[in-house]
Amino acid sequence: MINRIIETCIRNRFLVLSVFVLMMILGFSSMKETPVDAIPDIGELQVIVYADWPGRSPQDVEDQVIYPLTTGLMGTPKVKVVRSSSGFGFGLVNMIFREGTDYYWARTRVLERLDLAKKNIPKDVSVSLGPDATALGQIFWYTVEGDGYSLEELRSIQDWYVRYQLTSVEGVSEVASVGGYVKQYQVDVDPNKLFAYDVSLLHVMEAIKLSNIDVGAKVFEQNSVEYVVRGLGFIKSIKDIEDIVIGVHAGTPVTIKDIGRVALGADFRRGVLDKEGREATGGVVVMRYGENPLKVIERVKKKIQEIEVGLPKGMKIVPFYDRTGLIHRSIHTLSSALIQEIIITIFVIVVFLLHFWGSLVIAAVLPIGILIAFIFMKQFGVDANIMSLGGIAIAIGVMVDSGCVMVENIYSKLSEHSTENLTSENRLKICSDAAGEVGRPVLFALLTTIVSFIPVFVLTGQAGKLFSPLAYTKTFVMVAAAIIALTLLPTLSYFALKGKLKPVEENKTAKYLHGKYKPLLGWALIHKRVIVFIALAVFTVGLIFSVLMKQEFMPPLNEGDLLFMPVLLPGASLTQVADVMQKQDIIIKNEIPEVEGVVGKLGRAETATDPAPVTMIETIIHLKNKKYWRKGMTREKIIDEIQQKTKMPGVSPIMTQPIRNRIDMLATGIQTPVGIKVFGPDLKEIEKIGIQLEQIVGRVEGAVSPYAERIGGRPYFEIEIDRPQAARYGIHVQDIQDLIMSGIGGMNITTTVEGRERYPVRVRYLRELRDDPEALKRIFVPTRWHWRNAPKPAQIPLAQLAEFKTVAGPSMIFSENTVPYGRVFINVNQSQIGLVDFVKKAQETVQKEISRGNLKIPTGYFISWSGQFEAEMESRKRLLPSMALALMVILVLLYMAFKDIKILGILTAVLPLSLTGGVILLFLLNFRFSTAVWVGFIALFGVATDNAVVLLSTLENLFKEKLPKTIEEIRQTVIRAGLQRVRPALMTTMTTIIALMPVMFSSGTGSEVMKPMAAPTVGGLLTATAANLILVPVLYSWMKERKLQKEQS
Amino acid sequence: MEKIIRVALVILFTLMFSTQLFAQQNHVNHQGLDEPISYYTCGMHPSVKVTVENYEKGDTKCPICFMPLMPVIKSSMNMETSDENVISQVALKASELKLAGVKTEPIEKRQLFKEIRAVGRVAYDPQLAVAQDEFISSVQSYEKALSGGIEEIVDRAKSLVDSSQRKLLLMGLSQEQIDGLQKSKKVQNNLVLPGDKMWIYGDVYEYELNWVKEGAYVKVSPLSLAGEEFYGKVVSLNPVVDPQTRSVRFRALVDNPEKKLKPEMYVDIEIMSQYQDDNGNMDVLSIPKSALLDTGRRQIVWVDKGDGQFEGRKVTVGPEAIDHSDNPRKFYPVLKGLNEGERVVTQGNFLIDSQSQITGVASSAFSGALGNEKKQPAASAMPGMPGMQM
Repeated sequence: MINRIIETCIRNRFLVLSVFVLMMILGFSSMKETPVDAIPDIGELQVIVYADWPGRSPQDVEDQVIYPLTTGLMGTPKVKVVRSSSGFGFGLVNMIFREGTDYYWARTRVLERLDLAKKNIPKDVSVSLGPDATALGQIFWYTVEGDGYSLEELRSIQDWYVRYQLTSVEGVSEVASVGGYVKQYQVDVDPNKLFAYDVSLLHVMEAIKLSNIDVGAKVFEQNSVEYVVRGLGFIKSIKDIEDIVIGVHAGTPVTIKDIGRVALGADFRRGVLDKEGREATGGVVVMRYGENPLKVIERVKKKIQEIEVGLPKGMKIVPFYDRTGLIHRSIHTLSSALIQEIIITIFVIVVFLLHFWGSLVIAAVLPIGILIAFIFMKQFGVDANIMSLGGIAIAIGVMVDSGCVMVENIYSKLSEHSTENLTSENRLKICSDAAGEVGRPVLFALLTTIVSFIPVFVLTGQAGKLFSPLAYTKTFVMVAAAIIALTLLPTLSYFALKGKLKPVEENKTAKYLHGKYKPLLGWALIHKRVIVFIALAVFTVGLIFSVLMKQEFMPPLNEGDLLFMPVLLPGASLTQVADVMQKQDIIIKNEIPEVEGVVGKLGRAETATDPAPVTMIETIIHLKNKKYWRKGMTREKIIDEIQQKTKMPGVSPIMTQPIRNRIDMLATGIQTPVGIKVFGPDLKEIEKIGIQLEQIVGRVEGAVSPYAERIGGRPYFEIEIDRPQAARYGIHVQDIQDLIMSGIGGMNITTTVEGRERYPVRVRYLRELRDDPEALKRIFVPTRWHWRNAPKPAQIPLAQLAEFKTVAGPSMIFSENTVPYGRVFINVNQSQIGLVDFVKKAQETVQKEISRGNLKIPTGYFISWSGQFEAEMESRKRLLPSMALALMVILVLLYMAFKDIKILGILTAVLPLSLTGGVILLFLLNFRFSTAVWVGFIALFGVATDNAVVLLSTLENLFKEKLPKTIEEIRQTVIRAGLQRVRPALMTTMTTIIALMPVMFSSGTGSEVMKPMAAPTVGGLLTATAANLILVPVLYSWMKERKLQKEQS
Repeated sequence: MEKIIRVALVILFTLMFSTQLFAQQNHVNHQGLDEPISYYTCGMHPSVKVTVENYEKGDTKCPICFMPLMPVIKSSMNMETSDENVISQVALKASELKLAGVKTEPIEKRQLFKEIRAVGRVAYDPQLAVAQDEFISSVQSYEKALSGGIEEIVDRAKSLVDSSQRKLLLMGLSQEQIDGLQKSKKVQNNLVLPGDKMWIYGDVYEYELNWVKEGAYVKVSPLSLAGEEFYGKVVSLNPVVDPQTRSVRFRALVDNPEKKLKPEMYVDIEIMSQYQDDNGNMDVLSIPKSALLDTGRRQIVWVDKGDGQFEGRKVTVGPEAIDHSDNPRKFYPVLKGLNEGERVVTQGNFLIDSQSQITGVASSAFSGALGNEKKQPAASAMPGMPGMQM
């Protein structure tokens, strides 16, 4: 079968060549079109429903919006879980879909449900679907600047000009504004004047509402001309509002200006932007799901150039976060590593093969293989990022292996003949036969590599999302390499391997190697025990190191830009936080010379992808190019200096990175290994149960600092209506609430229409009459029924109708599947007890406490166990069988190759040694165990045995040819086999190891993720090669010698 | 040989599965601190406390928000105070204080005034003028009758005086005013016409009644004369609540030197009522309004102990009031918890309070003004359970 393919190919050389040229073109165009980003999107597949209810407390949002919404959204198909959170003025419902669900399909399902769910919530809540973007969507931030322009003016330009133009760019899902002030018409009402003129606030609002409309009245004809009739009545200026009439008092009209003042002001805001200490306004471009960020940013920038012409004089758009830099840097790191790898690989091949054209043929595998891999990537929807390109990078050395085997075999077969005298038909025959000989091993190697990657494919959750691109691309290039080796290489060899070919024995590299290897192996065969002892010793060392090594989930990627995230405690006011931000930004900009620019954001940008509270500052710090840094400065030192210099009491200086942070911010659920969720209707009771659980679980062996979430923390000022009192005055609760809402909170009652721009009109009491508890007492509520025959309703101050109190309340309410919950977070000392065992034990303990009556769970409450252990259990469920399966398949394949259980034993003895080498190198380089490292090991796993397999098959063949009669003969035969294989074996390992050197020595963006993945292969192959070339022959010889001794005795 | 294979297989499997695939991310904290670390905490959730030991084992992230934890430096301060009002202490560096914009000021005794806003109008009250007229004439006829000496007439005149006096009382005049009227026998013309002094009728609500006393200063600003102010005193309070407006009418007499105040003008009234403590002292110890952090549960003031040391103090304060002495500012009279001359933080106290929650030395029952209640003691909730590992 394989031979037939090879032969067909070699006979249709022109066809093969044209197909490959076509594939290369296709590959090239795929490469250009593949979306490029820095890291794979590891967030959950979620659709966010965003509810905006300005000014409402988390409790109100939860009770009146989020709860009814989630009940309506429950039961959406393919939903894994519905999580929701209610914050101040907004609520989010995160619908987490099962992996593999089509994103737009999911959005449509949510929309369907939402339509119905919306019916049960107050009318003034605006509910919308979040942008069709993920955590990685925020690709470009900019400020709109201009000397001499106020923040309102800048914001208006951003809101009504820049924003919509940028949203129109292909691939942009949303452009959200942040910072500055939204212009607003503010009607500040003096309650004393309301009283004096005998009108109520509700009248004022009604009057404004009724005074802002344009209408059309069809047409009339006059003298054969048709006139369009319009009634003009939109509010366009302050004066328009001032002149609105509210009512008539003693014969004179009462207008707005009589009862208050109208001014242009700033709408209530939950976000501030600060650039180097000056308040700024700007926006964030959110990219659509699945788009190519590089292309989108490029288009956005082009659009900015276009629209800058239309900006008012002196105004400009200045980017302050631009993902392209990071993408370019990480792609650059990898592509330069790839190019270096390719050059080094070619060099190694040349050294071993000492035939230039032959080497070039092998090298051709690399570019063609990579291009073909890109075709696959496009078809399978794998994006280009450091993980997927990393998959290619770690495969480079292995890719050429099959090519090496193929060309080397053709070469040696051809060199056996004197090439000048061969007819082309004969050459063709030799080529295709030689290729056919190694066709099976090539396929076999491919199979083991793919099979060994099965465990990576079944990884779920974040790890799966992170590493599956790598597993895919590695498989793609391996498949591509095998296809090339089987179809293209024989053809190319046919053209390239012409002229006088030196026999292998005369090859200088081979001679040198034989000279070194022969005595070494000879010594080793005599001192077998020493060799086995050394092997065991090395293995033990590796085992010890593996215990000593620390663990981490994923080595953090250096994103270049820093995200400084000072946070204040809940309850801090916007003014306070803005003050902190401004002071810190000035220091960072002026006192740290490495800082190029600094822009801080407090609170939220107006997008559902940004749930940050006001107490959280996110400052993007853009560092200068390393050349301009002070001597001896490192990133760590800069971070340290920033944290030291900006130290303020009550402010926690957290330093993270922009993308990392965005992923963390949008993640929901429990991030610790184990967590308990306490569900129930009342937050106080939940807290109580949580704290009890915290103590109970704390006593379970292996529990590390369990912590029950505390719910309070945000001060609430509650106005509790005294119903009997209200009844006494004949006042409805709604009458009071309306006043609380509009008088104290202020309400946007209508929106002006001024050309393209729209601004809210807000009514509220004068500031000094509502901004402290004393003033609130004097909010007047008109009675509904007149007292006896009184001519007008009385106005009752709030103090007589309600009780005022300050209480601590939640700053955020979380619920899952409609039930509010509190969380108990538990870390587990995993060297002491396994996660799953821990959970079992903890569950038993809690159950015991409940049955003993020490822990009371009231009706309506329940607890559930959750956390990362679920992922681990899931992984274990999948990983164990898949790893076992992979191992089984490999063993079966090996067994099929040799049909000898003892040889299988020798092979399995080599495997741990190769792993040992990886562990030792990791330890020496001070890496931690992470999933990346494991993936590196799995990659190693696939290639470690390759050489042993080849060597063993050579041994078997030689022993079959002529069965040795004495121990000496056995050893000679073994040495002969070793000598035959030492050059190709070293060639394949050296290409793999040396090819990875550029990765190991690179220091650019992305290298920190790639290095731990490359290290196991490098270290592992070193010991594996030693084991393959020394231990395998030693064990084999030992086996044969013992067999011989048994037979003889 | 089989033995070797078996051993090799066992080794292979143990190596492959003994190490966990998933592990906690171990983020290096670049705080570069040489000082001894007491424990680690989260900037957003200060109730999270992780021991140094656990931190080094890899417990480096906040369980709630998953952000890196920060070290809390061991403080040299200790809570050696017997003052039960002291709830927390915190030490800060001068640079931090400057950056936080912390300002302090000594607390002093001040004269405080409670300010009540009310609406009213300049009196145009012909009825009262008539009633006054009636009263004066009834008094005059009574006096005449007295001189006449006829008992019956005297009695009738007396009852006439009484009834017209009652009428005046009901209309809101005080007994003193009536007595004055009786002596002067002059109808107050400024009830109907502009004069050098004008009557102002204002309405206060029941809940404010305690603060409105006869003799309280009033500041009157007419709605129509923006920026102009007139001063006077409350003279009398109606004894009856007006059922229509649910308010109580008071009368104030204000100076009207240029006769700008005209009857029936609407005016804003500020009544300034002096605060007295329980012993009737006018000079009361008071703190600026901005010094108080109020959570409803407790009221906290941060006291500057010098050298960057601050002490959180639980205080009890009276109602908010104003000191008019130089630049009118709002104060709270201190009832308990502070001594004269102590410096209190008036700016940046929120930050100091937050810091105390994150790193401060707290007495056992405290976790900051905006923090949470102390943990429930575990031991007492579940006393001595056998077989439990503690």
